[in-house]
Parts: sequence; C-alpha cells; structure tokens
Amino acid sequence: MSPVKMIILRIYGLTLGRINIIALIIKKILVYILIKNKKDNKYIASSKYFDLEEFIRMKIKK
Amino acid sequence: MNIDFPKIENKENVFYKIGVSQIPRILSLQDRECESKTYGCFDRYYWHYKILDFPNSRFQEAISALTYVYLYKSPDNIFYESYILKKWIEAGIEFWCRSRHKDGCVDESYPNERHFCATALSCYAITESIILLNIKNKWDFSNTGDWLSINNNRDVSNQMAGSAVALLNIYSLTGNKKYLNSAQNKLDKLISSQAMKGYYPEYGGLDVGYCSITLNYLASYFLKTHNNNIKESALKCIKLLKSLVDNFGWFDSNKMSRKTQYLYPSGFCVFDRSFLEIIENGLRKNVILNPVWMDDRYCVPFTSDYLRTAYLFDQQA
Repeated sequence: MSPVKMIILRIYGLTLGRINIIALIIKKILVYILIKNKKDNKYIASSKYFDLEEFIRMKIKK
Repeated sequence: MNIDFPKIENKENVFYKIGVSQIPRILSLQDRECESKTYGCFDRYYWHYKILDFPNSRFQEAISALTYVYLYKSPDNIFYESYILKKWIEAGIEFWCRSRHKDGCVDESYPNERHFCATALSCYAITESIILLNIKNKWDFSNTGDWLSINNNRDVSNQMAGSAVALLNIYSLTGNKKYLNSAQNKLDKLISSQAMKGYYPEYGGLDVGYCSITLNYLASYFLKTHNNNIKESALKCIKLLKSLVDNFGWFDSNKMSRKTQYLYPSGFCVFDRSFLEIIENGLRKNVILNPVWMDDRYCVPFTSDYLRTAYLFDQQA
C-alpha cells in the first residue's frame, strides 16, 4: 500500500463503493485474485506470527 | 482483588518475567522474511495487513526490547545471545535507517509528518542497540543528528530528554563533538524548565507517567556521563512522584496533564530503588498498568523499558 493507492481506494470507497452491487462485485473479484486463485503466497491475515518451535530449530541449526 | 496472571515467585525479577512474556508478540509484529522488501519492519499493519500506506517508525523501538532480552543472562532465557535474534535486530535497524527522510527524520502518524518525538525516541532506541550490542556501525546518523540539533519541542519534556540522549549516542557513534554540544544544550534546556515542585512539564503541567519516561532517558544520560546535575534534578522529581503514588504504584491519572496511567521503571532503577519496590508491589498483585495490558503501539516501548530495568538491575547487582 502506498499513499497514491490509499487515495484511490478512499475515492473509490466514497463514490462507486457506496453502491452495494458494485462493491460486492469488486470484492468478489479481489477475493478471487488475491486468495482463491493464488497458488502460492496466499494472503492470510492471521499468519506470520512468531513460532517458538521454528525459533528453537533455527537456534540449533546455527 | 487481584488477577493471578502472570504468576511470579517472590525472588524472580518481575520486570524480566513480564517483559519476556511480550517478546513472542513483539517478534510477531516484525517482518522476519529476509527476502521481503519490508524485512525488519515492525509495523505489521503496514507490511502484512497493508491497511496503512506508510510504516510508523516508532514501532522500530521494538529493537530495544529485543536488545535487552538478547543481553539478559538467565537459565530460562531462550533469547540470550541468540544469533537469529541478533539478525532480526540488525534487520530492524536497517529498516529504520532506510525509512528516514533525506534530512534524517521519520514519520509516526502520516506521510511527511517529520515528527520530533518519533525521530528522537526511535533514534535513541536504534543507536542504543548498536552501542550495547557492539554492532559495527555501517549507517550514517549525521543527518538525523543535524535534524535533532535544530529541532525542539520544549513543551514536552520527555521528548527533549529522549532527543538529548539520542544526540549523545550519535556523538558516540560519529565522534563529532557538535552532537555532544547539542545534547548538552538540550539537557540544559530540560533541567532549566523543571518546575519548582520538581516535575518536568508536559504541556505546562504535571504528568507522573511522562515524568517517569523523562527519568528513563535522564538515567541513560546519567549512566553515560555521571553528570551529578542530572541526579540532583531526578531526585527532586522522584520526591514529588513519591507523594503522588500509593504503595502499589497507582496514582490518579485524571489529575495528570496528559492523563497517563503508567510508570516506566528504568529511571527509578538508577536513581531510587525504593520507588522500584513500589512498582514491583503493584505488579506482583497485578493491579497496575503494565505491558501485558496494553495495545501493540504502547506495549512496545513499555516492554523495552521493563527489559531495560531487568538488565540494569542485573548489571548493578
């Protein structure tokens, strides 16, 4: 996310995004592109936390 | 009434126990993938959720917490002298240095903010870590030093204290005496602004929480210079604070100029251990604000201070 993208997102949200059907279609398209259709590196919000087992494995490797 | 979490035996270092419990959480805030463009960034809302369009540089103060847990020697401390942890610390330093504007300052709340507080306090955290860990300094701090030298926020004592010790650190890293002079200048301004009653003004008034933060930075400055003026000034402030807090470290935040509820302990570790015991009483009963209770943004610097307290306690034992 960059300031320009943020501004575009906000303008969309305050204009076309207020129309339910358009917002729903855009959302479905984005979910398909960013999550469902992605084979690798899917975006998962609740991920990439600290993992103790992995940390201990990395310590032992060193 | 008290809440039985975390359970701390009487002889254990309560500041270490509470601080180290937050390390996995703090590490979760960091982008730890070395191939990532945002490797080292601690603002998860920026690098992972992407709901922000710029990183809050104050999150990089997490480097401090990691540094003190890296240095704290204890049989049950899995982070002690961990090679991986040191790599993540260096990544955090690198990210902060890259995030700066060309004039050396950083942003906290919006792009191009050029925030004095964020620049001073995050610069202190970064430079202090480089010094404590004896990392070879490959970063240029002269632009940040120049920016801090010409900028002030005299209404807010804790920020002035932070900038003074940040400049002192920049002098240590660069050897350029102009930063030492700037540091001393800021310190003199701070001490001269101390109220007759003893508090360091925060927007013209008394705030116990921010006084404790000011004392934290003054303690750091004192340990590096042994300037007795600092100690005298600090003890005057502590005498006032003692009259305002109860036996468990609680005070009426509604009467404070900035409504803070916390007490940063590391300054008391250096200047007055008896005050530290008051805070410990409150923590063992789990009745006062501590890092476990706080949101991400303020958990980070508060945890850093708890671990700094544990480290200083251990060093001075």
